[in-house]
Amino acid sequence: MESTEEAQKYFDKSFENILIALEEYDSKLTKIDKEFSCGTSGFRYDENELDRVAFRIGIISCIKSQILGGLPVGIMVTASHNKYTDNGFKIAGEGGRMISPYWEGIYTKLVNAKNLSYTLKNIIEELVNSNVSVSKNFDKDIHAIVLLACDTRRSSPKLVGIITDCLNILNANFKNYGIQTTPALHFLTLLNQITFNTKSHKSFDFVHSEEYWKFLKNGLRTFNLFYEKIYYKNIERNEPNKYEGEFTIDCSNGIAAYHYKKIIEIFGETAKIHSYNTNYSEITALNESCGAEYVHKEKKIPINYFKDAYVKNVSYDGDVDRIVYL
Amino acid sequence: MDFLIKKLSPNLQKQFLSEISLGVVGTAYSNGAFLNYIKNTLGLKLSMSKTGIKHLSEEGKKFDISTYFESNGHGTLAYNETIKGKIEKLSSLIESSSDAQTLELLSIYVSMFNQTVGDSLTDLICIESSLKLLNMTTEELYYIYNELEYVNIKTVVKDKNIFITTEDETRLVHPLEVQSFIDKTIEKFPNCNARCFVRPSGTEDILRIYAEAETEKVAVEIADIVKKYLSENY
Repeated sequence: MESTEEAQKYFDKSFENILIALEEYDSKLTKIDKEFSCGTSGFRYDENELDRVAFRIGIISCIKSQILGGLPVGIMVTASHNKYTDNGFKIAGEGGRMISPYWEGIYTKLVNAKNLSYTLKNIIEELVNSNVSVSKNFDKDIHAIVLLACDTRRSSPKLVGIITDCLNILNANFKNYGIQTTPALHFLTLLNQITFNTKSHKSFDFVHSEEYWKFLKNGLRTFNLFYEKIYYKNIERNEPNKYEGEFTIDCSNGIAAYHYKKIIEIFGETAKIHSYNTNYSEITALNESCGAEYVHKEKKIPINYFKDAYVKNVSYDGDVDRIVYL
Repeated sequence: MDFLIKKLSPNLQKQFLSEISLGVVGTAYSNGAFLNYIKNTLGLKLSMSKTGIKHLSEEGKKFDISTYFESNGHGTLAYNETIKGKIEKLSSLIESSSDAQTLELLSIYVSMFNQTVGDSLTDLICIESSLKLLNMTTEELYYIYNELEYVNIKTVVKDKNIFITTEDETRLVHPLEVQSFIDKTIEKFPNCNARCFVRPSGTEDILRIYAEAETEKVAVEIADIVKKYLSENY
């Protein structure tokens, strides 16, 4: 493969050393003889097949961040509503949104690469010359900024560990947010990008995960204040207040379960919430006979459902990006 | 959203709707009764997208404010960056204090959603806030339209790749015989809002069959007829 001049600058001695370190780590990870593909919501496979995929997703996320001039990129380790023995990855790209089909192709290419160094060089050349790159002068000294979060699955800490090792080899600036919902990681990626764009690269500080919860709380508080103090007085009401401020939440024994106190806190006085299926430490219980997917697909009520006193039930899926009312 | 806009004085309302485009994005799996409600009862613009949240979000970009949801509960309300400026510009047309408040509430409401991706926590907060605003019980919400019964089954075919659908996945463009068989099957069940489509699975080597009708019996019957035809011929 002939290298272009710009890309060649990137492949200097120090980069070759990084490649050797990456190759060495990569070769020790279990090799799975299958073609991995990126579905609607990222990569999703059996937990035992993902070590090498995790490592390579770490590499590409760094390269993506560097190609975008150091813009923060998010990696979420989750298999959403799948059974507890699966896991997977979702990527938060520009604007905190899901990555484009073009980037899905880039990720898939490296994940399936037979020769890691060769394919990686190939990809970098392609990216430098594509219109996604912010500059035609690829600066390898730009530190990648990567954000990590995961769900409550038993395999999540290990996969996060592999990605962390990868980010260390590549000398990336990263933050592990621990157990967060998928939408929270996307939101935090956006906030970090805003911080990145308004500050100089050197003084970049990661946004705290509490900012996501503040956003939720403030949103509802602003609405309530406005609604109760101003709007409610003006509205012509001939009927009694019918709002039912009490409901149950099926936490699917996943991330919602881990954060259920925070969810209750958001609503405060607005609504009384009773959560159930909150046993996230019981690893096999995740999404089992509960959660949004179960309610939607099986058209059944979730396990442990208690209807008697409450009229509303809300079901979440394992990583809290889906909601079903019952 | 719709409720708030209709609270604005007629002049402001007209201007709002001409400056800011609103749309709802659905998929082939969106319930027919829901699509009908959006289009005919509320009179909102409806745009159909391929299944998969990223396709819905892409389709939503056609509007200044869009609501996109998959039937599995994944979705959000999204707005583009011009929206705050546009709402501000409209404030010159405010005729009463009620107008001012409604406009403010509109921008508060819009900014409560997670813009990056479908988020069930912001969705919950906004649904609950909406119910409060509309003074509705969950039961009333459930009955604003009568959801059609549906059935989702799969069938194995020799080669799923010969099945090509239209962009919104509601019809087959190839093989045409299959589409016309589906059309004829639907015709046998008049007056029950029946609908059926097949599409190849993205991940597995199977075809998915979706059928919808006023009664579950009819939906199941249609899906079974189509399944039988497919397994005998493909």
